[in-house]
Amino acid sequence: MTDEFENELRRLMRPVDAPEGLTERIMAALPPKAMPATVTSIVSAIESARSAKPPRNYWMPGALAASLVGAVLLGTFAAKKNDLILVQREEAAGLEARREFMEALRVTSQKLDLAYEAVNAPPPAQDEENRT
Amino acid sequence: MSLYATQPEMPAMFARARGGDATAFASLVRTHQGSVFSIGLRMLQRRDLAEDLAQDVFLQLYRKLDSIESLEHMGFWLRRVASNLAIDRLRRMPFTAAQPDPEREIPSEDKPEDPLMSRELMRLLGELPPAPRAVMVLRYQEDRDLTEIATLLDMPVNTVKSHIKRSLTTLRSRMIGAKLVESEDLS
Repeated sequence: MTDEFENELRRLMRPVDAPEGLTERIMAALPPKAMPATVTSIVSAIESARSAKPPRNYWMPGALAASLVGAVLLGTFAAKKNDLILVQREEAAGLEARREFMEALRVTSQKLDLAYEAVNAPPPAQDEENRT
Repeated sequence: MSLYATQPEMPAMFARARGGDATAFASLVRTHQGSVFSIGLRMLQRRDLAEDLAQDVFLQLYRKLDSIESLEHMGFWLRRVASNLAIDRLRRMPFTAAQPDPEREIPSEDKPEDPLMSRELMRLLGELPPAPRAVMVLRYQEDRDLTEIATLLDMPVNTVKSHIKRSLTTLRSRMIGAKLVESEDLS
């Protein structure tokens, strides 16, 4: 029967005892017990906080100076550009005013010419009046 | 009956071992080394290789003990690691190195009632491929059920069943062929 064969297998395959000294061999091969990861990280953090000097940020003054200079230059540039725009606007307004003035002079001159011509034109001939 | 039912001090020992107590860990090793060593011996067929395997398994246990939740979980973990490590080593081993050494395969103090039959069974077991061999060891040495064997070896339950069926047929026919058992007894 298969069951009998299986029982025979179970009997023949019972676990055997480990050899003498295996426990000692295993224990001798164990590494030193490491602390749990969280404890290790806390301890190392405390140790590093104690031993480490505060970091010196040599770059900080340089960066501040550079940003200050940059701000000043930018402000100057913006102010100059603003002035330039104002001057250009004033120049344009002046040119426009002169053009309008010249136009007005030209129109006035034309009117005066017309008036002069009208005044100086010879009156209508009296002979014709007499004839009629 | 559970292994731990007869050893009520084991849960406390397990807790102490998890806390880093080396003496408690040594007690855990003593309790489980027979099972781990036997898996290695039946799988690798050589006592020296079985001892190396047991050492490596317990070293891994030592490193992983924090992640193991209970004694039952530890037993499961040991069987799983021992079986899979043995399968890996068998697959990497040159064929000649995997041959059983008759002088070293069964310790003299553990010889069963029928040493000839036991030795022959060991030899026949060594002729099975690694995975079916592990299935047979877990089934008949460790007395694990099919579902647990499937979980331990990461294989479907039907594969476990078919390994057992084919291995039993092979072992039976070879034992009959070797005239170690009567054919009518095992048919």
